[in-house]
Amino acid sequence: MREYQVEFISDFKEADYYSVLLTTYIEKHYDHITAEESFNINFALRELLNNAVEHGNHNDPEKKVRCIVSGSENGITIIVKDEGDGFTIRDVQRQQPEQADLEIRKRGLWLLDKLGFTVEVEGNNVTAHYNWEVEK
Amino acid sequence: MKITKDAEKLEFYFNENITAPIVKDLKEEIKETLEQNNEYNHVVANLSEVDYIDSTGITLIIGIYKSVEESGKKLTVTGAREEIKNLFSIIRLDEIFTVQ
Repeated sequence: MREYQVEFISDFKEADYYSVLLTTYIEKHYDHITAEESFNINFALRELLNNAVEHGNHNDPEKKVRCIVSGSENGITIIVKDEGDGFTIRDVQRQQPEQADLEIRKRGLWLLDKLGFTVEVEGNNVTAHYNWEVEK
Repeated sequence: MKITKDAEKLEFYFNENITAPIVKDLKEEIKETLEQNNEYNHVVANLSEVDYIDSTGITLIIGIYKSVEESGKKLTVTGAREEIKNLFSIIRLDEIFTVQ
């Protein structure tokens, strides 16, 4: 089991930087990862980190976001923690849209489900797990 | 972002990732451009150089669609990598504008 942990201030630029860094880390350690998996993991990291910055910490630079990525032969787990109260928008984000979705920012967790992630929310702690398409 | 115009077409060529740190600035620039140009019939969002997009970026593309559609004109997204096309397909955006 490999683990990588980062902590940063609540800023979209930081979330951007660390989403790329963590994706690169995952690619480096799992050479079987496909382009689609890499893209989807980056998308999930961005969604979870941006959510923590914006909805969890309300863009307060005094508040930190922590992200832990761990991997195994079966898949990877992303844990994101913020310093907010635990937000109800995450419940809204799970709802499936009735039609072509023109308000996708309200459906982030639904989209992660569709990309193959299992997402659990507990207060200000979100865990997303993804199983590799090809187990190695 | 590069913007090119001809008699019928207005093209937004995104030459960096469409993600949260820059979406606000892109939105302003696109809004001003659309307001200042009424001659076009067709708007193209060219994503050939976009490696990553997030939900703020997808919302930006949806915003372009809404503005263009209100004017009775057409939006086409071109050059998107397969993974971005897949996202658009899941959200069913490819049912409301053309994704090539």
